[in-house]
Amino acid sequence: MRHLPTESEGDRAHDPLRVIVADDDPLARRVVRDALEAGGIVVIAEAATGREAVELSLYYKPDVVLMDLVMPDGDGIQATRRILAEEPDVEVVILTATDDDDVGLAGLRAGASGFLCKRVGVDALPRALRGAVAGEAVVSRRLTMRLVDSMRKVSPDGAGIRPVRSPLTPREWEVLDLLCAGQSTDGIAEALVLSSETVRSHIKNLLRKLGVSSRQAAVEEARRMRAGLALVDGEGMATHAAAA
Amino acid sequence: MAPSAGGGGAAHASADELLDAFAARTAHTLGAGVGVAGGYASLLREQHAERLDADGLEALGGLEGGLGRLRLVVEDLLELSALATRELSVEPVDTAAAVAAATVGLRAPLRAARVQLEVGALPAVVGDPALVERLFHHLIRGAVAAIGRGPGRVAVTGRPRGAGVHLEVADDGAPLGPEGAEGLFAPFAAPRGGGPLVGAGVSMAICRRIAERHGGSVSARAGERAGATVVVVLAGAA
Repeated sequence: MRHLPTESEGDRAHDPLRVIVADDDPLARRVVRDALEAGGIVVIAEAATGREAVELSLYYKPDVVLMDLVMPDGDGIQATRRILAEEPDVEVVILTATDDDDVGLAGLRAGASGFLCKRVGVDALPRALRGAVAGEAVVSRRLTMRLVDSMRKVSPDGAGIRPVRSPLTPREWEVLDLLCAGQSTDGIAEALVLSSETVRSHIKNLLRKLGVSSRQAAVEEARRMRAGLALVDGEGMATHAAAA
Repeated sequence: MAPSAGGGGAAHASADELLDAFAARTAHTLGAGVGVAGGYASLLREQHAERLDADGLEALGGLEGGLGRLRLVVEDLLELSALATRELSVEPVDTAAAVAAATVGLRAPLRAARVQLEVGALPAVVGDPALVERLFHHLIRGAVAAIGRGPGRVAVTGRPRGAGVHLEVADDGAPLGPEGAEGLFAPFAAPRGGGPLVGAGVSMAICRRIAERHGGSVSARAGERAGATVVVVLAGAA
């Protein structure tokens, strides 16, 4: 969740961006490193494998990991999932040789903040990474259009949209969706073929995870989250349950 | 890479370069697809597994197993293609430690195939530690693949000879193919044995590349009763 920076965070905002470059090709790493450093970004480590990318990211906690897709010992999507499971504040931007949108979507589904094709040109990387840290989605115009198309299929109130990075399980989101639709505990139990006790347990858990104390507050929190996502205003990439 | 006889060195190098380019391109094309499929398989496992019945979970397990095999193919091809250009960091290498590190990722298949791994006293060599470890990884992996479902035995031994060290990995698995010992080290040659450990079928080619990058050599001979013994010669550490 984004928030206004505190004074200390404001100071840190002026610090150079700390980036890890993960690519199995040493020449590619050097070219990217040179471009980032020329743009005032500090490359704090380089990884040649997926495993190294994970280990270095968890150790250094960089602002951004610029991640190749195809690497030995764990591909970029696996590495992205592992990093974000442990360090959700790290931004991962996938940089690949292909401009295949399906690859990009898979990366975004894994929690990456962006997907760039190596053909984009290394000079564009510093600005792209700064954008990722500022909360911008770093994706091509074509992929953006695909995401917009999927958003158009979503109901106007945003029902069904779920953030990629969420503490709620898919089942808890289903329960929350039905709460938003005004369903009672028994109605939810019937719809999901669960016992009422199980539904109450899910509701208790999702209230705790959302940091609210009532069902109405949970519904409002869900609407607030979805309003942010539906605008794609930089709070995170949206995904649509129906497309999952 | 050793030039072939009759002035064909340039052609030989060119063929290797073509092979590297093919391996790299294939690895990246295949790897992108495997990465995407793996990402969605992880999503299924982490977010939707609770809604799958037993058949669905079995299918997901099969999908993950198949992706694991494909990842090994991709990694083999990446490794093969990177060997020619990789910069070596040469130093004395504790060979026994390299064997121990090489077997870390092979514990499960060694156990599954009930392979008894015997490691004798091994002289130190001079080489790139990471590559020496990969050399033993592929030698032992190839031996276990040759043993197949097992049980079997793999013996790693070594002895100094002149300024060099002869390292041997012997198994009692499948015999050498009709192309004999030389055919074993050709890229994409029919591997001994089968199963998921075969990967892209370039393990022995990788061993040859690693040995040659160190100025060494690799050869093979048929086992006394079964299987084969692969012999690698590297420079010994004084």
